[in-house]
Amino acid sequence: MSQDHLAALIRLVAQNRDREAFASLFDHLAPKVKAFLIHRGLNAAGAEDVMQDVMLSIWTKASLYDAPRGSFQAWVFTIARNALIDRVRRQKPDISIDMIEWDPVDETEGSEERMLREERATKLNNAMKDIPPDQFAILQLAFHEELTQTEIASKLNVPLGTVKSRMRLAYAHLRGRMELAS
Amino acid sequence: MTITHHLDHATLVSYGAGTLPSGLNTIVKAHLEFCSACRKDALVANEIGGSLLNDSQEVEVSASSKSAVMDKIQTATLHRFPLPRSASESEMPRVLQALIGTADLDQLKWRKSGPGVSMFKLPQKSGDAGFFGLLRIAPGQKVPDHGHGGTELTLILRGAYHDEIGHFARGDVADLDESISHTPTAADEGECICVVANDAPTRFRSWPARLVQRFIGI
Repeated sequence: MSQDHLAALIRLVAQNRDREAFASLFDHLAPKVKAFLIHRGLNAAGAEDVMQDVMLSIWTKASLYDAPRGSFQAWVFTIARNALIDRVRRQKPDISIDMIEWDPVDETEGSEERMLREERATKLNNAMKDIPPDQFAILQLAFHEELTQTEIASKLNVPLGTVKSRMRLAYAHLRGRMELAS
Repeated sequence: MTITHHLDHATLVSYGAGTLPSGLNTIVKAHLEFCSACRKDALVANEIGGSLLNDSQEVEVSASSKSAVMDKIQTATLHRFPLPRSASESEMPRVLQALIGTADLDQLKWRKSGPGVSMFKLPQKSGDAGFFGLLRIAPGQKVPDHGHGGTELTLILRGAYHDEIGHFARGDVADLDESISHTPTAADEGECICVVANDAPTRFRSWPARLVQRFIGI
């Protein structure tokens, strides 16, 4: 499913509380969210449970996606990551993790800017395919295996500085490709 | 507030992944309250997470899960759009206020930890190594030359200091790794209060400083 299509579905949910659109989102997202949660160390039953919370949040928070902070897939990722932090680790709800409180929302965002957000995500997905394998591996260890920089360094048996420089390179490369004018 | 020293992009990647140790994580959030440039940079890390999630191979979901969620949405309360909040007007970022329970740096029970230096330790998640706390350094006071075993983040809340890297004032963050050794000196004009976290013990170079370290626990 394309990024534009996903964004159109979430907008139907936000504006019309469209259950059919939500059911399509569920079919597309739930298996990916569950896979992500299993990567992060949950067993199948736990992942199924937290995945339900994530999908429910997508329904109740649908209108927040319109705060132009990024793409739909990034928004889903932050919901899944925060659900893990809140539910599984039983930490206090995070007051600023979405940073949504600090910047005023651009009410004037038009449909072109909205499309641009999703276009950047498509570019990022393409760029992800051709970053050097050593950089990609570090991103996966951080985002999927949930390892700290120090843990990545000892797992790969490289100095901490190498982990940081690969992260910086990956960040710069991906950001550069996202922001390239179409 | 003009911010000249920002977070390392590697730190923002780990923040986005949700894998920073608790003390470092809190300092990142505190700096983000001050710094719109880093808030923008941090969003890129969420995009990276989104892309990796999108690329996940799929795991089958049970049919009962879907019907359970479709049932729950009938009665779920919708979230309202939050109003944007202005940054904290006190010296203390909101995330630290929530942790400490006060916004007034002068009300804290500071503990003297060396000549011209006081300390207020902050709680971190059990299992996280390293130091997390506030340091209060008298005007013109030098902190002994030291390096770091891992990552160290320092956010300036009041006053300023300078070291081999540059001048750090309110809102600036020093994001240092094991390759950096420095001797921060508080500005002569007034005391410097900063919040510091690291993920491995500080390495003081001189033996008297190392001796003191045993007692003060930084």
